Amino acid sequence: MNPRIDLKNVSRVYSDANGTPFTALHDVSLSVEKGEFVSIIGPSGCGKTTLLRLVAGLDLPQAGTVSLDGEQIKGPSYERGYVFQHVNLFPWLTVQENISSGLKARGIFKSRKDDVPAFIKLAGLEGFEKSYPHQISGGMAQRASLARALINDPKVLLLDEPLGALDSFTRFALQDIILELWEQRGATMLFVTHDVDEAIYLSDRIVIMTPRPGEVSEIVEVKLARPRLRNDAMFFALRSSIMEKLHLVGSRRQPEYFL
Amino acid sequence: MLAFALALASSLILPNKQAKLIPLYYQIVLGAFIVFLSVNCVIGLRSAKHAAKFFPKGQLFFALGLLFFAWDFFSAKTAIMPLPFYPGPTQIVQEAVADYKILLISSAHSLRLFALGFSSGIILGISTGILISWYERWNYWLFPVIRVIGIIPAVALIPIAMGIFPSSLMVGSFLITMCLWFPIAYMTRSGIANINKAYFETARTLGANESWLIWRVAVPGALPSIFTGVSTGIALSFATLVVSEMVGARAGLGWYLNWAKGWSVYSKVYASIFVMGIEFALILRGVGAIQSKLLAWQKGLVK
Repeated sequence: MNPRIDLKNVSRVYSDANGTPFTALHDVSLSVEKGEFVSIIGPSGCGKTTLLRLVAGLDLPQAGTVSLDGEQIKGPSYERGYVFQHVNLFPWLTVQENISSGLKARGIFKSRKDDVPAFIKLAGLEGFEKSYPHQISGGMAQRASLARALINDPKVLLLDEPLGALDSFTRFALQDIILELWEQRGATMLFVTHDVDEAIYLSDRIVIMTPRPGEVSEIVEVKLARPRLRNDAMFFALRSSIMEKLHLVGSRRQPEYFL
Repeated sequence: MLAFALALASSLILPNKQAKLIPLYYQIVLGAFIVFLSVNCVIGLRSAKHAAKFFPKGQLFFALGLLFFAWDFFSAKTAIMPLPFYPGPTQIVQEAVADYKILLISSAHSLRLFALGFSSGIILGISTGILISWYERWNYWLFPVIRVIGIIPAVALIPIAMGIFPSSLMVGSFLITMCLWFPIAYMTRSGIANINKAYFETARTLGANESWLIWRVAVPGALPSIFTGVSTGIALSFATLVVSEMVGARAGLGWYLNWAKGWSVYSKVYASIFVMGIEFALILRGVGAIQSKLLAWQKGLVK
């Protein structure tokens, strides 16, 4: 199959405030198929956000190549939509104006004006069209961000811990919305998270990364039938094997007393 | 609340010591106050909403009434505060009415001057601010200039401006422009610098080009800060407006003020000061209204 997103031997070094170099990504190679849902998981500082920014074109690699459909990525494009962790709706625009801002930025708002209500409905924000971002809840704002990215019909949707700042109830609800959108629209999804359950629940494959320097340590295929159950035995088995790989299980200590 | 109105009215009955006055116009002004307040009282008694809005201001109006009374009492009635420096309110209102044509024309002149300087100051200020925050080279060369020229009071430039520009209108509007240009450019720059980079990145992943980034992200994001610059500049520009008219012009409120002073007609001086106060307050009101319209999205955000 022809891979859509292709990273080949990509490295990115930043220098911190003191000028000390810091390797965010070291020799990373990764291919993501068209329409695939891939999660990237790892502790902070492992370069998962950097990887996403490189695919978005917000940042360029110092070595290696990043390409989409064989074409090298040189800058941002509406074909690669991006949803940030922290709400990044424009505070000076209403929900409706925010959702249509992608169309306006590309100068095609006039011809596609009629699509906007459908995307407001998709995000479940009917009745809040005229609200400003600070007047709606975090979950609603993140749904608006999703709708704003999706209205451009991106080939790839890059999600940088989009649910990280939400409470767990809202998070579960939004996970289902994201899955639904993915199944409907067939965009390739690259999803950065630090929540193992979330990664298993959503993805076809999970890329596990390790920090200092940021490297891909392993890629786990999630062979669970969809729709998935959060309390399935297979789910838990996979969860504990990933936790172990991330060294999150913790060492076994002898309990101090027995009941 | 009506008590102060009585104070106003009773002050009229006392005999005048400052001679030769037609008290009619002053009485009309006071009468208008009384009518205005009584009407508001009646509405307030009928509608609770209006009462909640209007009645808290009662003490303020009461004090205003007392002030009018005291002023009239100490100047016109008893002449404790002597002429020509302390004319009574009666005389001032009388002069204002007698000179209303000149005052109106002067106000119009001042307004025209202000409008010219204000609009060019805002356009120059915002565009300079955008240039220096967007292009490193412009910032390198222009920002030091703004820092240096920005602290020179525009009034100090009067002699130079009078040498360069052929008409007093141009001198005045140049000076007002200078007042607004630099604070606005400075605040536009810092406003743009303080916008979260994520907004620019989001816009770029949505397919925005550079002009969209400037006009749809940078400018709206910096608008609160731009308005801070405008209000700083506007205060300076009022002072500059009056001074520049007093020095060079042959029209305008500043000129009228200076002319009245030349003839020692202090009642006219006071009259023109009052007109200025009203005019500038109206301008500030207008700017405030535009500001709250453009920054409606900020309402409810923690400041």
